[in-house]
Amino acid sequence: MTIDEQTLQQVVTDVCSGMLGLELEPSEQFTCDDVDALSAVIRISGGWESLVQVLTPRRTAVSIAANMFAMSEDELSEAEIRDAVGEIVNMVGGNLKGIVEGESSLSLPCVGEVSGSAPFDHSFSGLCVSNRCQGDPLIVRVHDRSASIAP
Amino acid sequence: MKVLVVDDSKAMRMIVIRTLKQAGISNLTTVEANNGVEALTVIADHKPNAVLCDWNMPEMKGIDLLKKLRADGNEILFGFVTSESSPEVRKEAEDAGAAFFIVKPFTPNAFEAALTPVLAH
Repeated sequence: MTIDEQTLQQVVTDVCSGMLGLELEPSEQFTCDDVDALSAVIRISGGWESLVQVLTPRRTAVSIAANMFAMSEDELSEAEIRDAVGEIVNMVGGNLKGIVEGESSLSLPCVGEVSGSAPFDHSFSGLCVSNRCQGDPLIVRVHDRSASIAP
Repeated sequence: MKVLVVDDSKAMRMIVIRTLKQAGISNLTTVEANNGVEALTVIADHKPNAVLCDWNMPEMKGIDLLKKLRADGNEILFGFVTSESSPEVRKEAEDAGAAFFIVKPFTPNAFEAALTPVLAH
């Protein structure tokens, strides 16, 4: 089975809204130009070779983490903020992996800071969905190395 | 019911514990571990009644923890709460002795549906 943007959006909605109770609104902003943003990436390898990325401004990541930890934003540590975003990409990646046929493995998530233009901007080809979450972009990309996404 | 929640994500451990409470598990107490290696110590020290375990973790994956427990003769009630949703992973879990398999994202109803039958025994 191939993945298209509708499938990706459904997975993102299931994770962010269905489980975490976050309000998402579809957005046409597909880049994150904030000078302070977080990027969480997870790799799928084996039958399906791909990278899944969640990209969002730090302030959104903090808000999401506060929701997940049921804590106020000023109580959160950097590790906890990155943990929250990493877990979102983990769930999105795992669900996408389960949709695509064939045996693949899921890496552990890797979370880092992004300043300025987000990675994959110049050579990125794949799927991308963007939603406004807490007023800011929450961008999810699938960079595909095999033929498991619909063009 | 003492439940060990094993996940390398502290955020997810908190969500799992909140969801267990929302699912209405009676007399619930919880202990936590960050990975399979830590879980072995917690199991030895705290003797939980059940383990809810993630699949992908550093140090020791959840499936390896389960296989280690069974190889050591420990028949503790064990199940997975994981973003791994493929049929192959689910089968591997069942073959290793997992009693339940909950896929992230989940709801309290999903927890209740998965846990009620196994906790009744």
